[in-house]
Amino acid sequence: MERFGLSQPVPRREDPRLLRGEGCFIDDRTPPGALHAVVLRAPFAHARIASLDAAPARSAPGVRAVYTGADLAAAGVAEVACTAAPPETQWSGIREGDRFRERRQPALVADRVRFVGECVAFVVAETRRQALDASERIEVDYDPLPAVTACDEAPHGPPVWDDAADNVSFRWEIGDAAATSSAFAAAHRIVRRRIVNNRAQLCPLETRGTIAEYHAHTNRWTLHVPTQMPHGVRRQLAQVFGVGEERFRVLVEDVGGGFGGKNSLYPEQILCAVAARDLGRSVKWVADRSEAFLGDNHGRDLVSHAELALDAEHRVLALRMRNFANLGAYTASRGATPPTLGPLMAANTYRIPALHVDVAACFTHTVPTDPYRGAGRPEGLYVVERLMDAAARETGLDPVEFRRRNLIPPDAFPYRSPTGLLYDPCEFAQVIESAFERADAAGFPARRAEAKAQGRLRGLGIANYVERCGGGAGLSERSDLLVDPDGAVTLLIGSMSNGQGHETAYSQILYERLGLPFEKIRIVQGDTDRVASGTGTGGSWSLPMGGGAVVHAVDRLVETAKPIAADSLEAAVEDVEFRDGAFRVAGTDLAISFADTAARAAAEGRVRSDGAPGLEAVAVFEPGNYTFPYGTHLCEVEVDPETGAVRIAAYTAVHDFGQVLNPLLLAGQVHGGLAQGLGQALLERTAYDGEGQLLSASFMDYCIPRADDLPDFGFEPWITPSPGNPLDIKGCGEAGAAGSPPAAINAVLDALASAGVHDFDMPATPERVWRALRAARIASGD
Amino acid sequence: MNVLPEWELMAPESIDEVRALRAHHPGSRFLGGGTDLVVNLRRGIGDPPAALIDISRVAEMKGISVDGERLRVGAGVTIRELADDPRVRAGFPGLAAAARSIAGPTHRHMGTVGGNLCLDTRCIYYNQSEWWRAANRYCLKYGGEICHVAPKSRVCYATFSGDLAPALAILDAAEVEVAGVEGARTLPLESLHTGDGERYLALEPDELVVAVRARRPAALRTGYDKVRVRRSIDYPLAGVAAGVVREGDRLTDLRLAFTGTNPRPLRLRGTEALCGGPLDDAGMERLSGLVRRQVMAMRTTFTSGHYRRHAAGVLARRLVRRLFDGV
Repeated sequence: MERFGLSQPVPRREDPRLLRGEGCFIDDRTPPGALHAVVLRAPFAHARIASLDAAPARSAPGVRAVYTGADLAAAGVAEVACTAAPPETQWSGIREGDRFRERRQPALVADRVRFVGECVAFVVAETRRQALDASERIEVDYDPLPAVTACDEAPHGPPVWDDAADNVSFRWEIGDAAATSSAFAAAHRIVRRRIVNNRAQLCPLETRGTIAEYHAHTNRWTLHVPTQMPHGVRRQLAQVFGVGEERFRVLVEDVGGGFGGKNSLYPEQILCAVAARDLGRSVKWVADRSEAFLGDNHGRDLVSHAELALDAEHRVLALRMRNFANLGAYTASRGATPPTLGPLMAANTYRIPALHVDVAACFTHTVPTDPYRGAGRPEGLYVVERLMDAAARETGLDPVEFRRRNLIPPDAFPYRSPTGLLYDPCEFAQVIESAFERADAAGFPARRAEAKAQGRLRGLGIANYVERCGGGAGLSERSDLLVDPDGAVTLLIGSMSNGQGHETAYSQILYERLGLPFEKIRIVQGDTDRVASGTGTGGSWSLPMGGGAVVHAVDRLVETAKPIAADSLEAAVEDVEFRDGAFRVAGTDLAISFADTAARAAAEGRVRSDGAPGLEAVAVFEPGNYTFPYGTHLCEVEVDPETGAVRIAAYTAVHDFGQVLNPLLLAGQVHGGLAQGLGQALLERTAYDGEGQLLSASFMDYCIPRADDLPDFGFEPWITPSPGNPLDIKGCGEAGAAGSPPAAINAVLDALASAGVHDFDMPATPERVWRALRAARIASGD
Repeated sequence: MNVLPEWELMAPESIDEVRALRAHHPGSRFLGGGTDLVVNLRRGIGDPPAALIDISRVAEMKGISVDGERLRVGAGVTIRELADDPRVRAGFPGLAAAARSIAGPTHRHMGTVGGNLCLDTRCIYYNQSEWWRAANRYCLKYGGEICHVAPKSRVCYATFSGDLAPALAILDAAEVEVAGVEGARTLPLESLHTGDGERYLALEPDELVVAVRARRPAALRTGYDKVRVRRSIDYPLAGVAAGVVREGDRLTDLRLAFTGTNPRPLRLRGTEALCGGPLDDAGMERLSGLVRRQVMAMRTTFTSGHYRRHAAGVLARRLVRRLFDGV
């Protein structure tokens, strides 16, 4: 029971297949006779389409169809709607008198392009090369218009939408404005910073793609889509086509990374579905790397003017923020989520009596933004953790001492945050202590002195974080267990692995609870015809929610099978218990195995809802509240003052994720999150030029970190069970990306403080660090 | 994914066969390891050739020979073979270090010495997808009428970034053996690159580098280093090869060559003025001045030319100090 059960470091079931190259990603599949599609994209950030002539492409060799925006409008294909409007709660909502201006992205634009890379035409041909050649024959006459790309310039920039002249999609606020104002009026000290969360490109190594098939005899589509949310994509497809969801089967096989970028429906999926229906053949489109940079929704991009009010004892009285969030040219499917989810976490781990955040979510001539690993929470945490460090420096307190003074105290839990969240008990102070011990923070002054002797500046940065994870707020996950007569179990689950290792995690739960060997466990995900419903994967909720659903389904299965076992054992049902893979008569050695019980059920004529003989059980799990994973990150950096090069010398993260289901999977999630967060902090810069051209549109120009850029991560779990779900799990997918940017930049600023640098924006590339040092030197007159 | 154009592929085994094939296929190009050319073809950079002549099996282009202080390396030798050769590592440590620093292990396994010497120049506007370049109105190097990194310039400022050329350039008598349809010739290495980013090689279309030769002065200590945004695989923001001769406490010979900064490998002029005395702070300051004046360095998406020049200077000073101190 030990080796494959809960909390065991079970190697991933999916890895042998993936490592042998036997995975099936979108470009590994080409149905016989499939047509190939290419998208013609807008070369301008903002331009009117004066004319578009697709005729030369239509007559090109091998071309079967060319679609333009006008064709789609005529076919009655709708635009992609925003699936989550800015939330309205007791604590937050759209500003009085304002409203949400939703601007939906069409699959193909007809009259005016609003970002470089927007889809203008769709060419379907016998081969990809023919489609590419034909797309170059389409003649588009553009009248370029001025563009704006920075969110805090957007209100004064050229309008993206004529009927939203200030480029604001919505003004939203959270917290108590009046109480915050009075707290600031009474403050002993106010600390202010302008803090930028740089725009990030998600860069899943598998680019997006779609294969669409239309089955005329049933009037149904099958869409192969690498997505995190198969049922969500199906729902959006039904909305766009104005038909019932049952008309679509969304099939997902292996997904090579998502990070939020494969949450939603994209234009190309719609276009493939249209073409497959019209042409009666499979239509395949896969993005090349350039298209991935230009066509995948981006993440982050937030400018915050943040202020902290302190009393004379350096306690925080209030936090105030004015945020400019960059939505890009449209309100993406979940585009309103990051700007509003970040402020929800703005109080972080601290007791902040009054808080108010005012958000202006702005349109710009850029790729739309959508959730990226943390979906706003990392942005909010970054701002508050930078501000805490700034306040510590201005008050002369040690950053850790300053934080300790302001932590939510242990006796305050369950704690209602000023943004309305109800935190579970969190052991913030103990986790800080644990991180300090593990990082040997006491030895830092000696390490700093040693670095200084070698001409390098060493800094130590801290970041605390708490997140709202695990579903909650009405989300649920469903799990179906189908038992074959030989005792093999198939789990149908609505979450969708995009690299996390769900197959292993769910197998461990079934191994633990049913005593089944892995070879008798099959996990089915990503097929909307087989899996009845699903919330998909995001928000670190798969295991808290999906795992809970599996546990409940197992309980039901045991209850269903128990009378059959009792009958076989000639015992009363209430005397039978299920333990170690068998039904047993309490106090005797009488037992019947799970497999034998399954066989007996089938022999008795039990039939599952799929028509096959055997047992089944279904459960839906809806958590009552969110989970609240939290932790402390400590980052040590060394800066070469002559070149500005930053090296991460050491990294420690202590996290409370609740119970650990598999320490290997957990470490994988944490390491990946840290790599993405540190990439954003140190390397990744999304650059637009003055005309709105995306300059960082290749892996040469957009620098995601490599193994060599990262240290060995010192990660340690701190385990307190989560009260919110049967497995006591809190969720771990986003934590690394949330804690690492502030820890890294606080470390860089700690290193540079002795050289007179007191403010710095991500990313800490060598040149930017060198320039900050030089500016400080010039300012000091040295 | 991007689609490669179709071409005819030929695989001759001798220089004579290469010449004959090239004469019969005027639109053909030479294919070595393919780590530069194939990537560019896939991106739609350059006119797709009708035929590729794979030169990786040509006997005369294989092999490394070391004869005392003399070195000859066939253009078909892979970067890895050069980096791993014990004679090169012992006698030409700067060259071995340059080879080791190129790209990643798989590139070094495929890429060749000839390919690195003839590496296409690059810049942030040129080395992009066809679609992206079209959106940015192309550039002087291919299809356009402007140099985006130097908009007032009428010549292309794409940067040469091969690592081996500077490491060879600081040796004596560095020469390339060249073969073409018309015959063979020898060219000083410093004449191989023109300084124009667009037509960056002084070779005729039918010519190819067969081998490179150089000689190392006995007392010359050599080294190589480069700065990159990321420490692995990235192209250099600046790379520097240095050669130092130290007699007692005196610096008696100093040679420096840069890559990743100018449209051609840059041999730094005026270093003899630093020689004759100890390597002191004043000398280092003068070295920085030479770098500032001669190293050009255009901007990349990430990095300004100003910073690249600065970094080149820091790199050069550190490398020279390390070689002089013998650590």
